[in-house]
Amino acid sequence: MLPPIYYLKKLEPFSFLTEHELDEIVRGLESEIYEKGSIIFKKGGSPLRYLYLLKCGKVSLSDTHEETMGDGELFGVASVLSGNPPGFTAIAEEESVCYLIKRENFLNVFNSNPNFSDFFEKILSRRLTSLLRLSKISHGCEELYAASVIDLIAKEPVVCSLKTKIRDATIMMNEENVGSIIIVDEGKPLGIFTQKDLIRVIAEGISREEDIGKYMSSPVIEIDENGTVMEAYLLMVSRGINHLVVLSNGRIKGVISNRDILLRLESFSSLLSLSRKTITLKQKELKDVVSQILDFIEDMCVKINFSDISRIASGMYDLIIKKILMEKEEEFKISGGYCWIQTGGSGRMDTVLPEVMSVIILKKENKKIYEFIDEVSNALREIGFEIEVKNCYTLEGFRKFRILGKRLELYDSRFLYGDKELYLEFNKILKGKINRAIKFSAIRCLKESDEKSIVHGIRALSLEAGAFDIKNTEGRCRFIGKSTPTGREIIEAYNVIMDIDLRKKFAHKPKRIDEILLKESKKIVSEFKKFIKQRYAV
Amino acid sequence: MLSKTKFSVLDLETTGLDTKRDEIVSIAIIPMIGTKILVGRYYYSFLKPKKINAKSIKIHGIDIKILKNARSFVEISDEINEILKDTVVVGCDTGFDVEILRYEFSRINKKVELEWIDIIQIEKWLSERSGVRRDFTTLEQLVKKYKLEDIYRHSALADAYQAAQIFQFQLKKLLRLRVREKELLDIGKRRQEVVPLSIG
Repeated sequence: MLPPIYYLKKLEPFSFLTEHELDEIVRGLESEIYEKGSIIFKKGGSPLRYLYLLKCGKVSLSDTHEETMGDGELFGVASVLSGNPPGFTAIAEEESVCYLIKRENFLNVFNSNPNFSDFFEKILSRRLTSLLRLSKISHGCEELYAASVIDLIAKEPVVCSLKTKIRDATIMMNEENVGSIIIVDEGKPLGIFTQKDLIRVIAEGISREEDIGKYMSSPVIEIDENGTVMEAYLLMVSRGINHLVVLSNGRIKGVISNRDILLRLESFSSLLSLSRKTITLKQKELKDVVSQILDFIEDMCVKINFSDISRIASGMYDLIIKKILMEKEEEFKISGGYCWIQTGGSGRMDTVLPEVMSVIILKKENKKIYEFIDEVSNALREIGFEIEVKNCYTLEGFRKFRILGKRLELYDSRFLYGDKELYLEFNKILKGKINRAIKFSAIRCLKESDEKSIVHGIRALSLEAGAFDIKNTEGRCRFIGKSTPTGREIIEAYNVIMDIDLRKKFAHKPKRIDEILLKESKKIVSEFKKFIKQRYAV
Repeated sequence: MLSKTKFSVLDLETTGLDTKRDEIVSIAIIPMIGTKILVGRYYYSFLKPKKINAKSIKIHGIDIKILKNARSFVEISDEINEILKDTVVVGCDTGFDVEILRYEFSRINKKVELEWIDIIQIEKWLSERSGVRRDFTTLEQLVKKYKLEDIYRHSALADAYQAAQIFQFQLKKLLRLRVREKELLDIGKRRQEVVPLSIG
């Protein structure tokens, strides 16, 4: 009945609280108004006796950098939790009303409700991926809860005994076309041997005449046949494993892998069959395919992360483009002598929607393909792709380019179809100007903001490290990995920004956690820019 | 010092509008110190009237069972007195609420002296000072003006809280204008045309 209770109930993390816990918070609740310019608390002052929630107005927190709080945001968390003086000064930028929650009441609830406390600890530890996962899990994947694991089992389990030779076990795996074999004793599973184990065996030079029992992983993680797909998924995630043995009354019924779970998710599996069909569809049916891909993306953008979506989408788009190229080649009687190269965002496979795709064409001297390329672009446009064929070069013409080092999108280019030799030559030419490309990437990194800044900066670093052939931003990040101070964080920030941007494109309502994520990401980007600035002296 | 003055934001639900004959069915008090609203220290109680008037109960939407089991005014009078003592009572149409409260006390032979102010009067004074003549006469109008959340279910507690929020904004303005406590009491009751001493 008290208005603040209604307000808090809808606000994370207070929405996680029971009635009783919410009462506890309200017992310690006060509301204060601060006029513009007034200091709410000072950095280094006495440890805070309240946690602050900005109800309306604007508050800035200043330390070495400044941060602005908007409606519904909490501040003073670290000081309240640690009992230390606040690490920044809070000033009301405009007339603001704050809810003040007494420390004692807050701590009581913090200590009794794990979801509530998780929320705060996650903010403090700056683990963006866990925050992002939290925001995705709350959307739920209902299919995972409704189905039982028994539905996932497609084949009889492939089993062997402890004394089976590795050689024989792998022959069985090959014949049955499975990724794992279960070692059993009277129907009871003792261990599992997977493809990963096989790789290890070969790498370590272990003889295939050895008993498999010596090299299996055990114990094997089990799940009852009535367990839900979600339970199976959580088991796999929490143990870092890819296979589970399904038991029925203690006896082995089958094996499921993470791939089986993914296939269960309707969108995933229907997209798989869609991609198989694309090879056979006619051009006019492909428009439908694109709209189905977009539906899939919209469905998945709240469930899986951005880089997975973009890889899947790019894969589908590539299929379609290749298909059109093949068809038109027949029409125009073209065979070889050119190649189709995706550049920029689609070269990096960082685009998810078929927005403007930049393409360049390389061709052999005297090859007449303008009409053909025009026709291909039109056909793709009709399907829903926005293709921009930037240029059509011969290698000689390309070599003459003086501003090659500035055409950064070319350093993000990816061969899609045609004569690969031309592409390899093209790469050689690009490598000749690589130092300029690195320098210009660094300059662009500083000029741009957010995800664009990350893309340019990462390109500079990865080209410098010699990863010329990796075009994808996340792939590049992984390559340079530990050599940069913000290594892991920068790829997390990138995924967060792209993820939120994608949801915005689908006009999804932004969630409160998005603001926090975005804020953290921007901090990381600005640190990254400083690092690039220093390293390349720009 | 106005910024340290203790206020009690009060709202009542009654059986009717006759201060002499009608009775209180629910009472909500939210304490404030200066502009700080002590939300967690709210007081809210239903009261059992001697005569339960079915018509006015329906207007408030209060369950008759709750009223029948509620305490009587006699039982809570000490609590109320303790809370309101030495505070300035704030409300919307406070005059009426204070009147009926005084009557309830007098019925049990207790005398209470209450200083009170009305946020409607304060709003009138503030808007005149800023050169805008606007007639606010209800809590709903003020809620809209201050862009507060719309509560669809009104109760004494919800109304008291909204009055407290409005008064928080008003008091901030009054403090900026260096209004003193005595002047506030005059403004809040509209005893006379008031010009704060500190304004040139």
